[in-house]
Amino acid sequence: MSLIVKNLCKSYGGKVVVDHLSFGMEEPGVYALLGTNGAGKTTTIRMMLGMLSRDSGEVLWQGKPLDTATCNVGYLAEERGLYPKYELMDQLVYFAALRGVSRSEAQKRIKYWAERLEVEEYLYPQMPKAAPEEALLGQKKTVAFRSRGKIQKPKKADQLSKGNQQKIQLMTALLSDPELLILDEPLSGLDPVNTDLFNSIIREEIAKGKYLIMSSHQMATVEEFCTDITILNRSKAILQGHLNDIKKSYGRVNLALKVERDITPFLEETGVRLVTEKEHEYRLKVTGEEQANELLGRLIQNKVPVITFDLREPSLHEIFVEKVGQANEAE
Amino acid sequence: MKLSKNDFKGTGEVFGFTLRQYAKSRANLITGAIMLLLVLISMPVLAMLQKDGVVSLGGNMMEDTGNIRTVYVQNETDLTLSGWEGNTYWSKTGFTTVAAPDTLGGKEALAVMTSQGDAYAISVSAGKDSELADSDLQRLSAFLQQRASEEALLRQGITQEQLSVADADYKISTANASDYQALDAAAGTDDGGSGMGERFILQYGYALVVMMLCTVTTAYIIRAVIEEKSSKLVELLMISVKPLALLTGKILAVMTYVFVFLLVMLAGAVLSALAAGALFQFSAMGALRQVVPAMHVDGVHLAGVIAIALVSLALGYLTVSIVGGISGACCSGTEDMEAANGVVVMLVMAGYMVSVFGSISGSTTMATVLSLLPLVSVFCAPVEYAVGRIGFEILALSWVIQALVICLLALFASRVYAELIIHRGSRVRLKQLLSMAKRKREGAR
Repeated sequence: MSLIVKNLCKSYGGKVVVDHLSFGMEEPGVYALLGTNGAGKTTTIRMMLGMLSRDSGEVLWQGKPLDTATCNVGYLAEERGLYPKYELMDQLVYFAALRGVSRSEAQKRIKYWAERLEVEEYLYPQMPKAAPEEALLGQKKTVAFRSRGKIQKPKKADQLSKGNQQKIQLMTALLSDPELLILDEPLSGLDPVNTDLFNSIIREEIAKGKYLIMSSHQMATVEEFCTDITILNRSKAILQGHLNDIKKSYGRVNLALKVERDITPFLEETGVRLVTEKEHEYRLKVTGEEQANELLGRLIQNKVPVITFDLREPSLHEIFVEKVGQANEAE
Repeated sequence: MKLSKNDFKGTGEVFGFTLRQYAKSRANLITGAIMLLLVLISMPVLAMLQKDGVVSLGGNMMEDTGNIRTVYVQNETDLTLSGWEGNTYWSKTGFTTVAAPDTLGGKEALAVMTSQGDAYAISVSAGKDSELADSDLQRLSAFLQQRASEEALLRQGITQEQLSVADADYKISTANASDYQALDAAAGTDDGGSGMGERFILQYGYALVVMMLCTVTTAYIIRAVIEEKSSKLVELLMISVKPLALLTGKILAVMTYVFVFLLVMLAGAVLSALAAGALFQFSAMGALRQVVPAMHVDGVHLAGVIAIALVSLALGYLTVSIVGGISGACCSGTEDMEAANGVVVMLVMAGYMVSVFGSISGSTTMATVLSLLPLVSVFCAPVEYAVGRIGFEILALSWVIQALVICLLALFASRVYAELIIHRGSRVRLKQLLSMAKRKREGAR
């Protein structure tokens, strides 16, 4: 196994914040650490990376204790920051140097990621934009016009929006081309466009055969990328395993149905539980395939036109909410 | 827990980055340029003011060459005045007994010496379009009067040696009763030779410079640590660099920046002194001797004293800057910066006060003890060495002690710094800090 986290414990002043947590990754892929706020996800990551001391337990990478000095780790911390008053390029070259990347190689990688993340204009000096009517006069004229303008200096961190700062921070995690990439809440605060951009980059890193550990509250993203998960609640792991296996264990209980008229009487007849309904689009909870098929049979029998019939396993979101609720009730 | 080479991995990168950012800072550049400009013009301005009599540092700081190029000496007495050489001030002045021309030049003067009964009269005058100041003529008059007196005494059979003794400088000092008692008490001890007042001035001045330097530079470090902490960068940095390397890199960068700044200012001062010498015949060494009379050093030895002061300063700086780094890391936000600075200022002030008041004592034992006391020694050891109250072996021992204190502080920092820089919340108190240091740090960097 490439990454083993064994029996990790941490407490502060008598309060246990991580309680005997163990998990592992056998092969490249994405492992998700999920949990409510304050469940111990970030503390776990900090202990794994040696930022925090641990009361007990060990973290092994390729059979040896994980040492960020020898293992090429990329880390996007939950608490994200950049030096507000320093030029971004200086900061990126510095962070790359700290990870052992030479200046020239860092420049190449920064260029690649700047293009990929669409932040070139903040990192490199920009020629002033030509006015459209000047541009129409031809390339020669445009160049002459530009040369008279004031070159825009590269930006500092405090001149960037939060989303763009987050892109720069992701760059810092990726610059060393890490074999183990730890992303703590990578998508928090991003707009849909940038979320898609980040998702595409995560997809690429997975395709490159990297090991990723991701902590997120965005279950749809976790569901898309992660193969294995651990759900933490109040310092304890309350659910662990392969995501598909976990889902299978719940069976197909979510039914999405779209019809052309009201079907409430049929739901009552078959005992199917209504979750939501909007303009004849139903989200239903069934006990299994048998109940779902019985409902479908009734609809066909009564000539109710069925537009969509989608029977699925519960979503990760549902599993998470259910498990956390159960754990809290048990306590 | 022992310190290892690995604890300092990445120090070079942190050092380089921090130093580059300080050097690139517009505020620092502007401050540096203004300071350099002030230093460059300081000596010529001082020389100009001294020459015009606006300021006086209590002695002759001007290079001893007069403005008068030719003096026509009309000697109508029986004194034989000769041998003008051997006097630096008048070395560029030609004294001649030939008859004066009808019209004196801009830099020419006429001196007429006559006998009036038992006395001699000296009359000095300049031409109508003379460029000479009244002070030049007064000086010439005084010089001729001195030469005439000497000649008169020699004619009475006094030897040249006796004349030298009679002409020797003497010093006057006054003291009130308590000062006198203190001096009397100190008389029984082996004082290094410098006067208490002079030594006090030197000690006070040096300690003041050290205090300002330490507090200002440590404030830089505290600010850098708190800003890094509050900008939430620490976690990102900590996967690449050990906390101690992070702190060390910053401390060394600020130290380098400040020392380079000081060297540039020193070079500026030298250039300024050279310019003042060339333009106004101003002697910077003379000025220095007037300001710090207790320092019995010439130009060559002054470089050695400066080197010793720099080593002492570097050690003292390292001591307070590590304390400053830890103090800064105890805070979570910039609102706590004042409190973090307060800790360092308090320590520095304690060292400063002890060293200044300790210098009043004439006891060499006290000088030795204070020179060996960590935190105090940075303020007084170089001064005590410069005034000759401690030997080099005591100075070297004080350096060794300071180096040991620095190692202990670094060890302490290595135990607490990692936890401190990811700490959030209220400022960490001393008790918490000590319990952090005792705690076992399993698996942490």
